[in-house]
Amino acid sequence: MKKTFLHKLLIGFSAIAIFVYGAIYACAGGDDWGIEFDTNFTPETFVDKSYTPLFLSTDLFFYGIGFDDIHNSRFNDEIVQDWSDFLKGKMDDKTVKFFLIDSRAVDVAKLQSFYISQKNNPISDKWSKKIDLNDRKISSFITFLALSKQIETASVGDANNWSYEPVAQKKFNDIKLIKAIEKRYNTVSDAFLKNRYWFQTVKAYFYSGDKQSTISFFQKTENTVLKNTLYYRALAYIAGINFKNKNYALSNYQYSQVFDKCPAMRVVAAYCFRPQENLDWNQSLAMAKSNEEKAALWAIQGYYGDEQKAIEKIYELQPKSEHLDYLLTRLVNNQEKKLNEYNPDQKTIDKFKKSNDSLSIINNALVNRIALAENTSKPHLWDIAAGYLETLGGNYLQADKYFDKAEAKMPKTPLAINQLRLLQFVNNLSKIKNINSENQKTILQDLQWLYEELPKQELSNFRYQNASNWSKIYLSNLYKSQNNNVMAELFVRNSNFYDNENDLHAMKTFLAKENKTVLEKIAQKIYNVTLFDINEYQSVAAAFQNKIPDAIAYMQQTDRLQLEKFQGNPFNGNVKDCHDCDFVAYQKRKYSQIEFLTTVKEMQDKVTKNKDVYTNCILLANAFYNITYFGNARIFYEGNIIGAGSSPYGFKNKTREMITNCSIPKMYYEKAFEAAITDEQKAKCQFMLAKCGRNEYYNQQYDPKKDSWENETAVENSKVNFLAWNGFKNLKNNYSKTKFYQEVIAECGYFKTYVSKAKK
Amino acid sequence: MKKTVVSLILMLLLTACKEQKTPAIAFYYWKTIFSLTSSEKNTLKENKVKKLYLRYFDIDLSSKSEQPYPQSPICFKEKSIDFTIVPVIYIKNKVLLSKSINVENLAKKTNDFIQQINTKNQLSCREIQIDCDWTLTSKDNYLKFITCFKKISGKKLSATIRLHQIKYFKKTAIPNVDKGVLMYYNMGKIAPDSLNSIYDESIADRYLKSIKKYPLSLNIALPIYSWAIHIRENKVIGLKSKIAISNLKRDSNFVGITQNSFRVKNNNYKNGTFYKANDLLKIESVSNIDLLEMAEDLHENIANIPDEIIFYDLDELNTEQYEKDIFTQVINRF
Repeated sequence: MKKTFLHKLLIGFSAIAIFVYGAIYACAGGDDWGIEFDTNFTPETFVDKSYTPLFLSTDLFFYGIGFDDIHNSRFNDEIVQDWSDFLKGKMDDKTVKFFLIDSRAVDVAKLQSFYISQKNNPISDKWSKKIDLNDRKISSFITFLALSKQIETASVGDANNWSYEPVAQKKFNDIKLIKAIEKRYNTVSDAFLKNRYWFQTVKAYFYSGDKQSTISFFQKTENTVLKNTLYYRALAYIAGINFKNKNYALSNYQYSQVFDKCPAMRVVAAYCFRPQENLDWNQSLAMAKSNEEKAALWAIQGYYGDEQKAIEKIYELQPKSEHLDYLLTRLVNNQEKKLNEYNPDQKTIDKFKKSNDSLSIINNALVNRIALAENTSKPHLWDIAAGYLETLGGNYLQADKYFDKAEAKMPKTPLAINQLRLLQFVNNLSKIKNINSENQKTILQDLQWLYEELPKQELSNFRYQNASNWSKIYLSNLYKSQNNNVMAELFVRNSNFYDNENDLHAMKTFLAKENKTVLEKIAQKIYNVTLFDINEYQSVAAAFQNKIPDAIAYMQQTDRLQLEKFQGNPFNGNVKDCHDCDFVAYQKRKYSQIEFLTTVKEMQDKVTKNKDVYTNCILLANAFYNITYFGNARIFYEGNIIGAGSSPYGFKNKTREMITNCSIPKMYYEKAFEAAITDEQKAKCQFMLAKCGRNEYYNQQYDPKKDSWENETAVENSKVNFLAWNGFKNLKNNYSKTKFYQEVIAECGYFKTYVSKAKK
Repeated sequence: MKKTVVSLILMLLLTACKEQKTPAIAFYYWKTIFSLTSSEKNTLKENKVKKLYLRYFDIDLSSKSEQPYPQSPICFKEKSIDFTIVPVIYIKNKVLLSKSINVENLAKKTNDFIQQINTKNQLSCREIQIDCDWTLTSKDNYLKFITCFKKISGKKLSATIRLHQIKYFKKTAIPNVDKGVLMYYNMGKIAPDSLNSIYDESIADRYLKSIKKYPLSLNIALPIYSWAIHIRENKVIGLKSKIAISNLKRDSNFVGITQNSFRVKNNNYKNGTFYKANDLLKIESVSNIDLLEMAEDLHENIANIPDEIIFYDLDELNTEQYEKDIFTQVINRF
């Protein structure tokens, strides 16, 4: 049977709340529930998994699960286990599960009718072949199911379907059935069955909405029942009623008991625990009858914000309390989050600098005190936490001592071993303020482990990615401060690095050298730029400066990159700039990058020798046009160093200026025009010059104050369509009789509009 | 002389025209249980409200099955409803971003669910409104949903339009609906800074000029809600919708630091929320003056007088913060 704990009674969820959650959720900016801060401390390492949803999460609500929505299935496994034990030898586990969880109520109803009427029916015939229907335990089970499944009509809800229930809260109104269940509770002698009927009676009263009867039945009987899961589930119903009745102090006290004693309901209790004012919270504390009960109240209260105070109180009351574990992880994760606030850019070398925040100092002192006392149930957890907080505070040697202590005592689970190693690494790297051949030995093995081995292992939940990123930034900054730009670049790529000629050459020398140190090898392994990439970059830069022999020389040193083929013919110049059209157009010859450059060189040589000047110049102009952002051969400049993208605004300024600059094609179109003989040739040159003019206009629209999207929208909304450039004017005034003119009119709407407007 | 007469007649005509076209007052009702307090009933009566935009349900994506489902459908406690009702369906953008979404099927299910609600509560409607903050990546699915839904429902369809969708409509596209509702609120981020996320005239200014160019006929939705943003260590940790400044001023656990923000002095519980020492509460609201300013700015920048001004949302906790005749004052500025 699916059991449920519904606290609809408590939650008058208004849609405004949902609207509001949506708004914050949107701001949080992601679908992942969990952590948004830089963290090296994995709470899963030492804390029982019943606390997992209560770990520090920067999103709404709970860590890992978001919202708790397993109300219909939370206890399925436990219920199946309980009944399987009861029916041992009489019914196999699979069948028990079928009746409890999977069966439609119809099988149970038919079997029950068989018991009442003693007449066979098809369902009883079917089951009698598999189980002994006359067995007393089996008949008790079926009778129990027949009664209790009826309550599920009110208690089990499927909010995720497309069938409309026009009521805010379903009720179970069959008083006769409630009485029948209660009667069973009173009369049945088997202790197991009695306990189950007891719970069903509380549940039936609860869903009937008869708050008073629920409470009085519970109060009358609670001392006689076992304090097992069923008891705490029933107690949660009572706590819910007390909340609805505005008995907040009692309700919260009861929820703290559920939190303390029923691990499966920790997340439910934490959700429902809602002190309203200081007064009722203090009253709840006064209700606690023992230190253990007081500690439970502080444990659940600590979830909502002040874990430091909760730890202090619980430690005072019950130092061996398991609740301390999860609160400690929240405290440490909160300290990490706070460090993010101090160093939001995460770039500074002093990320782990000692913060002067008074609360942090109090927290460290508290954790140190408890770690030193060694009287909690998991002293190693306190040692690790104390060590890490010492690292965060800049006391690296003190941290070492705590970590050594932890290592001696902690359980050697893979997660624990990795966690400790990670924190020791963070501490060791933090000690290095000036890197040299001696101190780098302390981190070499860990760096290899962090960058190469860990990503291959499947250690779920282990938070090592931050240490990986941080170590790269930290090392990069160290090298920067020691003027070693190459090593700084290897650990963190800088988009402007290759703008500096000296750095570029230093990097080439480094990549080419044979005898690298271990750290240099590690650094090169994580660096994704190769010598070939750099040569390609130099080749592109040379080509954009019209230094073709240089471009060829560099391109020849690029391994396979030089063989990459253009998708369209880079020597074509069409009326429309249309990549896709050029890509699918018939191409007699497919040019590779190196062939392209050598062909350009041949043409340039011919121009120098005055051979076929018009044709060569216009082909050269087309070639230089096509390798700009506007042409059909963007592939030429796209690469590991320059990057790629469909919008010029996505590139850094220097690159954007380079790839949008049409001055070289313009120069060649002008040369071609000068050498042109026929009007057709001249018309074509004029139109191509107009294209260059239009592109220049676009380039001038760029506003560095706007982001790339705004820049793009601004260009799209501008009046550029109807502006005329000299090329348009010349074409219209001097070459309107040419065939090319007609081609342009047919294909270029801008020009057509310009011409028609000019006529008016 | 002739010219003067013509202008006078024109002026009269324009004035007459304008008077006829004063927008109607309408409200959004955004709670899951429809039940009006006497104060809310009064507001409706005094403002001669004929139309209520009722949030029927949200469409969310189930975290388990990844399938869309109707979240928190409305439940009617109020039996006699003397208003024209427009069901509003809020579709979360992530539903439309889902890779497995079948838009046509979703449109069918949505229409069917509205019918179920109407049948079970003996209601009928002639118009349905879709509310969705669609993005460039969900645009295609959203437009398709609207087209399918219009065909399936056969009703008049309206859709909410955010300011950025007005300004960049060529990119964000215009849904194929009969009417748009410009949401003139939610202008900024819910953030610890000093700006007001509900309404900020300087942000509004960036968009106002675009409204005239928007090709779809628009009604206008204006905000009357307020809330307090609960901030801890410079991070927003919650929103409180029932906080009165006067109450905070009286409470020694809170210290006023600016006109609309408070610092928590000691750990304390208040109205069911735990406030930690040094937490901040920033109150965001829209004043009478703000509302009138919005009306004037909009009036200057819209192509046509809207048929309705819809206030978000009808709740006595909201309406009690304003002068009684504020809604009439606002529509008279149009």
